[in-house]
Amino acid sequence: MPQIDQVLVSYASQIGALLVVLAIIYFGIARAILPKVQGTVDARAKRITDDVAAADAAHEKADEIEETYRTQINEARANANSVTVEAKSQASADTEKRLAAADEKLDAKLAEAEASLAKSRAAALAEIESVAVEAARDIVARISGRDVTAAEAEAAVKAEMAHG
Amino acid sequence: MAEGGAVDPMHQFEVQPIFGTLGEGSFAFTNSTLWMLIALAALWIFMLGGMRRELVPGRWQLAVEGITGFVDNMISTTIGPEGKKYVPYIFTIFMFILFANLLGLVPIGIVGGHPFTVTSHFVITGMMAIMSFSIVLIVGFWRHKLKFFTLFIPHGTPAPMIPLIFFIELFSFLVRPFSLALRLFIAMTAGHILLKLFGSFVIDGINAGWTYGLIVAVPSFALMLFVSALEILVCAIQAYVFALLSTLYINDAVNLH
Repeated sequence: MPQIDQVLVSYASQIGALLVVLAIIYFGIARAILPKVQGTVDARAKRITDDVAAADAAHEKADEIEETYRTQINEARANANSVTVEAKSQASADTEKRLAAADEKLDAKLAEAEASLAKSRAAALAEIESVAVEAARDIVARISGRDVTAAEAEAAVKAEMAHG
Repeated sequence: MAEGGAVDPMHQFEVQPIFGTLGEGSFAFTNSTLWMLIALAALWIFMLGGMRRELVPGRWQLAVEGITGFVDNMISTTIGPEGKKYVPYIFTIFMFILFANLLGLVPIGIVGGHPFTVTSHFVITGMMAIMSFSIVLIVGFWRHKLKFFTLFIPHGTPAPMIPLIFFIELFSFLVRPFSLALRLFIAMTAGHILLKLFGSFVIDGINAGWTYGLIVAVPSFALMLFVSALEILVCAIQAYVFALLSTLYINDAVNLH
């Protein structure tokens, strides 16, 4: 077995070469290249977690914005409702007021018209009376040839008109 | 072994000088040295593929990041956040063993090359085991001073049993570097002998005529295919076991219990 037979003649060159090669690997690769490789891996992992966190934050923000939008919309809707109701009640109140004013005016006009009507009726009646008195005096003078005083004729007309 | 045969299954483990001569205490550039340097070069090239540092990694970068993440994860789950400073060492021995193991299986024999499995020598595996064990001792006594000896007394040991348990635990602790070194060395050696034996069966079977070729060479070749696949798995598993056990032993030293 060469491993045993050659121990004494080869141990120095084997161990020497091994130590040199291991030292080169240790300092040249394990301490120089290895940290950079791991740094790349770590940087990638960090980047991924950062990106995921950023995406989460953006998602949350979007939710927040949607929430505020919703509350604002609801508020605006409630506002609009109350404004509509107010406008409606105001409009009906206005209408009522104007209606009442118009009614009053109409009433006044009606009363005036009635008053003037009564006045003209009274005037017409008075005229009819005076015409009737004149006519009664004429009729009496023609039929009986007697002159009746205006006061007598008037009393007779009044009594006749009162009877209807 | 295999007397008279064309293939000596042990020949592949022979350390042959390329420059200089082998001798007691002398240094020579051998095939072992050459294959260590090839492993180093292959590992360096592999790791440079992970240096592109792109946000979206390609296949190569992903392989490098996967294997570094694997080592990092193994250490952080075993030792915890304090294990960060042992990552370079564990990474070094893991990658070196993995590449040396796999390069020993490279089929360049068909073009006349001779791959040499660096990790099939217990001088190499023993040296790495001693390094891991030294780290355990240094870190253990540095952090815990003489309290490190409480490692050999498990929790809940009845008082009269303490001396006995102490020596049993101490013995099992001292055996660790040997088991660590021998496991890798034997796994590699046995696998390569097996492959070489099946290879010699195939060659001898073909040389002995087509009936023997059919009876011996074909099944041997089929078995060799299977064993080759198994050996690739063993290469990775042995590298992982060496690194994992080193991590566990360092964990003992860092956290005591």
